[in-house]
Amino acid sequence: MGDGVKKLTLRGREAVNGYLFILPWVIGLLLFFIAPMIESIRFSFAEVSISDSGFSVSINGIDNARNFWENYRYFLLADASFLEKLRTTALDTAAAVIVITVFSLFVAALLHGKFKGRNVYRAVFFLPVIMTTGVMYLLIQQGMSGGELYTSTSIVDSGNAFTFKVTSLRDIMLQGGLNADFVEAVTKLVNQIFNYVSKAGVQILLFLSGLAKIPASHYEAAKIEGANGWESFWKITFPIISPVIFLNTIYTMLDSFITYGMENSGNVTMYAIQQMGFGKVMRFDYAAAMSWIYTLMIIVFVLLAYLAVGLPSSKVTEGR
Amino acid sequence: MTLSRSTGGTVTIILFLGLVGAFMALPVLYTVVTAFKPLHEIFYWPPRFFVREPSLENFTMLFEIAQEMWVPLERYIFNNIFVSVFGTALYVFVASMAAYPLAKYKSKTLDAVYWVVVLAIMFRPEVTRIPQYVIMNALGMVNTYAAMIVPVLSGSFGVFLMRQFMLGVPDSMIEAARIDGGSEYYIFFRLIMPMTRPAWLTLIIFTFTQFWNMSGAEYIYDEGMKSLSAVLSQIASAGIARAGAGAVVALLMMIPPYLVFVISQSSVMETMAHSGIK
Repeated sequence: MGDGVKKLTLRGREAVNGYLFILPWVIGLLLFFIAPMIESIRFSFAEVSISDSGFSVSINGIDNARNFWENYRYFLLADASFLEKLRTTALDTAAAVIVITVFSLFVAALLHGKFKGRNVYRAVFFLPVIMTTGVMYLLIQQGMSGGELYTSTSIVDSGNAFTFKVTSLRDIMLQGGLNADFVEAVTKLVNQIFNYVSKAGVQILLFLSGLAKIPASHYEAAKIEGANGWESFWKITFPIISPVIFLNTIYTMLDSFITYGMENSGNVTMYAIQQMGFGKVMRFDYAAAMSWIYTLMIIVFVLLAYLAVGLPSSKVTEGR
Repeated sequence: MTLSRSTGGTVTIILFLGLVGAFMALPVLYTVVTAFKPLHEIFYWPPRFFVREPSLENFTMLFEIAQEMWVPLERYIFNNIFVSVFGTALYVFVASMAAYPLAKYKSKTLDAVYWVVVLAIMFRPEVTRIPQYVIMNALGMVNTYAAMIVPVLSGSFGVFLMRQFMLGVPDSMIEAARIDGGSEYYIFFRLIMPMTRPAWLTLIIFTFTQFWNMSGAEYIYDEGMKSLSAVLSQIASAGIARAGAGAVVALLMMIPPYLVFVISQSSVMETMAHSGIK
């Protein structure tokens, strides 16, 4: 950033005005993020028991005789299955970030160009964004997988046989007389592609918004100077949208880390935490400790992303 | 990005996009088709993708179920629209305001706040759900519209998104406005917001979709205050006989976010057209 902005903002009143901009959001953050977060740290070092009157929290080593780190010790040392789940989730996420970011930039660049039917294509690529949330997500999940229900206390109970799960793509192909192994392989591949493609909707849209900001005159000038498409991508598009590339890397990473999974597929770590805290066991203390271990892992990932993408991109933006 | 304008290139692009697009459209197409299948066709064996005798049976069924409820369906629709529209407007405003100083001011405090933003988007709501409920209860927000709107306002992804886009607004333009005597509010509303239009139009889509599909079942007990999604998932989950109604529910829930998308995206493209003239 230029020095000029700095000098001007330091002029008292202007700076105060600036802080007023951020105030409404910060108040919300303190109440609904910082306060609950601190509370969950407290849970993770305590034994939380539920009674009729609510729940009681007894801090480890102070209010009871347990080791202060007991909850963490359990998941890091005693219970190997949780670490295994973390490993699976980490690998899945790394793959998703690379595939989805590259894929969505590619698609966005294509959709940004001028050709007939562009609007129709854009509309189609947005479909997954609606599909992958809320009620729709639930319905589509069952329709596509034809598998068991994903359980969540807040949405729909697993006891119910439900909607159109009877008709899945696989059944249609098997009925068509195709070889079972072939159908299995195709289904797996299709699921994987669908999984990635359907998660790229937001990223494509963000890239499109980033590309929309680049003035056409930049490309015209480059063309007159004799640059080809490849060169103008790396010299114009890439530097200008690099903050968006970073944004998308982070988005994809977090999206993959926070989506719900099932016991053996999808995000297994989230499923385990969900079950611990809100399933039949209702151990908030354990769930809090699991979440914090998981959060620390996510922080490490984001820091890596900063080192890989964030630093060069922030240099680019500050240079202008 | 300039791609080759040759016919061959265009055809390849359209083919590629068509293939990938088919992946995305398939489940939605399936939902639409299922909504028009009479019940016996939904459970037909071997299963068929397309409907043979389209009927409005499922729509009538959903309508009948809605009639039997003791709170009229319009009430739920109103709840959803109110929460979605009001919540989205408020969040986009709050997040953009917060993003401006984070993108364009230099201070140690703001740097720290930026790191809190990054930290906050890494955090999963699972852990904070119970303490959050306790706080909302203490503020008397349980069972009000505020229970569905206010917690979302503290979300950090919108702030992060808007900040990333505001970084692209040239400092020289802000300086020029300041030298001309423009106040910070003038700069924000007349310079920053118009220049980040594609970004906040996109944020509107995400936020609206989030609100629209929100169930809020944990915070709302009063039947008349419940959201459409909470009620519709109750209807859809009531067993095999409701399978057709479930598909109709899915179809109807899809339409409003889609409308918001179409309107705001055409607006984004309008912006692009203008930036091309310059």
